[in-house]
Amino acid sequence: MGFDRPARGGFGGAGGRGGGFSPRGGTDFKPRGGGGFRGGDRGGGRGGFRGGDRGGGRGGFRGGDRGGRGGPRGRGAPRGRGGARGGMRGGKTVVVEPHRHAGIFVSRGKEDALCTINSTPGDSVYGEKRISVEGAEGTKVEYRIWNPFRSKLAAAIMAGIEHIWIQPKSKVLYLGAASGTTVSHVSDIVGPEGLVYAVEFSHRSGRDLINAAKKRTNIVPIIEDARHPQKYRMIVDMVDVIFADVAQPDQARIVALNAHHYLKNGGHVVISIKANCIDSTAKPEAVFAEEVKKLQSEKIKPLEQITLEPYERDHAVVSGHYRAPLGGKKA
Amino acid sequence: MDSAAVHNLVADYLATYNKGIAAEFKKLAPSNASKTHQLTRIISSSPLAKKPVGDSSSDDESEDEKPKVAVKPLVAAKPVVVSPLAKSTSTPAVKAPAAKKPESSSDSSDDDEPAPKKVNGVANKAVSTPLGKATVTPVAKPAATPIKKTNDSSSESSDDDEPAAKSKAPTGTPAKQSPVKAVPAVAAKKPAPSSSDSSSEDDAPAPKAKSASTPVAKPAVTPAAKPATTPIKKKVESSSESSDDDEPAPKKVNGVAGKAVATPVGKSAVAPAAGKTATTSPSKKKADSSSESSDDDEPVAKPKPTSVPVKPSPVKAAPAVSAKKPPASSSSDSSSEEEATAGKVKAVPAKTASTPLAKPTVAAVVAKPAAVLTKKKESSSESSSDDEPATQAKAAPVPAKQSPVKSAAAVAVKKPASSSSGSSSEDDAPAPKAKSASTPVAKPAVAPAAKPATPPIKKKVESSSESSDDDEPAPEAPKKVNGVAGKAVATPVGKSAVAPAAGKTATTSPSKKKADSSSESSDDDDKPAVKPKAAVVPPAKQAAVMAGPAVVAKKPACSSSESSSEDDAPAGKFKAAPAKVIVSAAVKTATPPKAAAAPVVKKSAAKSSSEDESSDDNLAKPKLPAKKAVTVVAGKLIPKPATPGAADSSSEDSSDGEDFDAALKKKAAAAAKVAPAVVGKAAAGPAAVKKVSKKSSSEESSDDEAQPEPPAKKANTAAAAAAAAKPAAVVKRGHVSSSSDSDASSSDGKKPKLFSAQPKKQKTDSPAAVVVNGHNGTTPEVNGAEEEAVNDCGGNAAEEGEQFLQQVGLQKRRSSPFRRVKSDVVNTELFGGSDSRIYDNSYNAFRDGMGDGDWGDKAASDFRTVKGKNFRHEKTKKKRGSYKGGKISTGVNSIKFAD
Repeated sequence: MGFDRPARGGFGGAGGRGGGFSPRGGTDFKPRGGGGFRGGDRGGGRGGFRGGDRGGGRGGFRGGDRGGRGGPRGRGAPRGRGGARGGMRGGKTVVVEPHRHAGIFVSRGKEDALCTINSTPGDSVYGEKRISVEGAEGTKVEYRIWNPFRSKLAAAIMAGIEHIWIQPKSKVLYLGAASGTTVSHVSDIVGPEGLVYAVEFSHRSGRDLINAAKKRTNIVPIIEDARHPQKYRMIVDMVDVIFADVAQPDQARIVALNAHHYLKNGGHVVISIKANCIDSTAKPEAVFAEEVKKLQSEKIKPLEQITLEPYERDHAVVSGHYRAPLGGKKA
Repeated sequence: MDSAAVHNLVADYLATYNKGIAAEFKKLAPSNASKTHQLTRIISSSPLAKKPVGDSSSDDESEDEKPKVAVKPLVAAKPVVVSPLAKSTSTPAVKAPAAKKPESSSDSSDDDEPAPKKVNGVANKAVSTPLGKATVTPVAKPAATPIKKTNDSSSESSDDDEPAAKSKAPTGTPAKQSPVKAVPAVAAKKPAPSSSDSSSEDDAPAPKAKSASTPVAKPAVTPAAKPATTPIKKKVESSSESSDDDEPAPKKVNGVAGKAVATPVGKSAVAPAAGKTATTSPSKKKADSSSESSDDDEPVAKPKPTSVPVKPSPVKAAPAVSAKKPPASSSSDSSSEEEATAGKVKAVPAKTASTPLAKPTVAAVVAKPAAVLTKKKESSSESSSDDEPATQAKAAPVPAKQSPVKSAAAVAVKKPASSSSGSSSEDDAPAPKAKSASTPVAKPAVAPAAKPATPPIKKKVESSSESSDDDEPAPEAPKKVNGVAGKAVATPVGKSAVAPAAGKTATTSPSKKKADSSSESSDDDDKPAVKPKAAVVPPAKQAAVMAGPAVVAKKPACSSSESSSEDDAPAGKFKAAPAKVIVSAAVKTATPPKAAAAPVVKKSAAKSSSEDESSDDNLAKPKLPAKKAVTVVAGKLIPKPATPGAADSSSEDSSDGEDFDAALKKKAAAAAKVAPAVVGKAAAGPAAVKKVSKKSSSEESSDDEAQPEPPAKKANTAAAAAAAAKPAAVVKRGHVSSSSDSDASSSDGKKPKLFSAQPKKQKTDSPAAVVVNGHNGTTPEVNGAEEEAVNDCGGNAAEEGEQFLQQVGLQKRRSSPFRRVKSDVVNTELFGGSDSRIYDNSYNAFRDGMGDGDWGDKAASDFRTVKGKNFRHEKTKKKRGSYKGGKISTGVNSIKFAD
């Protein structure tokens, strides 16, 4: 796959599919990222012909099709939109409590689940389940289940990362937004006062991303190659956090480049590293160490690392502090 | 007890069986009178076998603790005691055997006994047949002689014992020694006696021996046995033998061959002896072995005591036997070794002074040797044949050897001891060797061991002889090189080695099949508990099996004896005869192979112990590798064959291979080639181990040196010996010749030959066959173990080679292909290196930080077994909204990078 070459070279992102790097788009090496028809796990979103339904894996045919509908229909048509009631969850027996990370909640019930407050009640972005809980004053709050198998950020949270640095009111540059599943949750976390710049180079995935952004005003979809941050310099402001899930061999460089452009001093970087995309012949641990080293050389001081096992294989999430002040304060 | 009375009793007893023998006995009696008198005194004074033991125990006890070592010590100690018993009883014992086994009794009886006990049914068969054949012919002369032989042997043994006692007494405390000896003897006798009695009785009364000896195990029998022993000349002899054996064992254990042994022998030795005797007793073989051992002992004894070489040997033999009950095989091994040594003496001249010693003794004992030879011919056919060949064929050579040996006298003795010990139990020998006085003891011990082995299984004997030969060679070689082979060996082996050896012997005894291994195992058993032997027999197999592998592995390391014994056992069974010839040569040759194969092993474990472990490990290792290794080894071996020494080694290898092959054939005919190769490897490994053990200091170099030199020498001697020597000769010769031609070819050829030979042997020599069968039966395990070990060894070598190649290849490969991450080494500089999880990205590594029932547990378990497409499938299922993972913990579980 041509990820490398053209990509960096050309400005216009030319270069065949490899040309630009699209975060999470077609070029990515991630299993799930596969471009085209693969119909990735991640929901039809990316899948080629399959249609962009957000219906998650099952979506395809039934869901509406591509583009258009950002609609709620995601998950199961049969169920109609009774979304709220999804599955066994819901209702009375469920208690939702805040997670250690601001903006993230855990629904405690028969089965626990990670969730975020749905900024667009009654709407499922990618067919995820939603939970409606009655607030104190009789107000209903709807949460969307966040499946760690679908989101590396969620996986990192589940694994026990100490800081995701993404919190309400944060401005986040999200590289490799793909279809916007995780982006939608980040959007929920930062809330209406926060902002998420979602960069995705794959048009196919970008379509879903755009659709998701239509309903979420705090998402700014950017269909560009993350390797060329200057191309969206007119759009992106300085951000507090850069989250990268680009699964590219040169992702450290990409992240550093974007950090240099848009990350505020003292900001943070959270990077998901897929060892196989860096060097499939080396030990994952060695790959991670290598990437950490690269970050270090880019003025990003590594703070913590955590495995995404068992949610992902040979993945790790590393967070770092960009140009940490001499004092070393942490955000 | 008056010696006269004893003599009368003996004479009477003999008369009942054979007037001629009785007459002989009477004639002999006078000469022995003095000694006998002393012995009787001692005995009377220390009837309480145990007490004596206690006395002797002073040294012996310590030694006793070292059960294994005890063997030698026992021998030393026993000698004294034994001698008394031997004298008084000896004749009787001889008679008894004679009566039953008259002809074969001396040699064959030993074999028979062991066989019977161990194999019982088989043993009997084997014994009977062997005896019939071998014994008969040989005996022919003995005919009348049988008794004489026995008598002689007994007398000799007694003499030897006396000498030993004397020698010991001189060195240590006469009183003590004598007492000790007496005690040991008694103690030993107790067991031994019992065993001896039982054995002797067994021989005569087969049933008794079996029932009493076998059932009771040694202890119970022993007590009774003792009394009985005294009464019964047979017992006496057997007891003497057993006692001797016991003593040797102790000695070995202690390492302080002579003195310590004597005392030590007391208890430990006794116990072992008892065990052995018990075992032995079951197996008349002991008697025979004892006789043989006595012969061996004599040589040994001569050197040191000068007085009565024979006695020591008998004692030793007995001890060995007794110890070996289980040992029978082991003892047989030892005995075989002794025989081998003796035989070697003939052929071995070069190899071991010990052999020479044996010869001298033999000469002195002649009757015994003859008997032995005859016996050997049949049962020990191999061993005897070896001896005979050695004596006869070697005649010329032997003399030379003998003379050398004799001249070496002490040295020779030591060597023998060492060699014998080495063969039977190198460890033992070493320990004994350490002590000058001990040396004799060591020898005795060895001899005993050798004898025991022999008696049980003639085949074993051969094999054992081979093993012993091998052992001897190694020791000898070292000795030659070092000058003090015995010591050197002993040193290397160290006590621990000895112990292992003992252990091995113990094990061996248990499993007659393993003979060699069993001997080792038996030794071990003995060490732990003398009684073990009884148990050993049944367990023996198990132990043998279990111990066998371990033992084998260990044995190699500990003493070539083990390896040799193991090899021998397998090989011995099939190759028996070849073994001998090979033995000397093989031993050496084996070493070479070992050296080659061993290198790796050696690397891992320079010392025998280390080797043992490694060997064990190797054994433990998968068989699969073994095949490869085998092939590899084969390849290696082949090259070696090319070498001069190679022939010998090849012969050994081939022999080993044959054994293995046999086993393999049984297992799978297809593997034949591989098996041989493996065998060779295994053999090599053991040899290497042996060598290593021998020379603890310079393993490889010494091994190499030893190999080259020994091979050459051996080759010559061995060739001569082989040519002239052993009945097995045919097989051996064939092997040798073939081996000389080309190791590989020889090995291959040998395999077939061996097989064919084996069948023949079995047919012809029912005993041998039986033994072989027994061995085979047991062997499977042993063989398997050995094979595994071999395989392991080979595998290791092969694996190492492969790995090396792979590494090289990988380096090349890796160097050429593009890699973003150059090194798999995680650079810890950046991380403060505090968290080990940096090196392990797995869920389990991080799992500790999570609470119980983490949400990811289920997924982790689901993903653990899937890969590729299945993984995707599993993961897809988990992406569904319906997936439930349980409780979610919100703790922090990440790796923090240092500031």
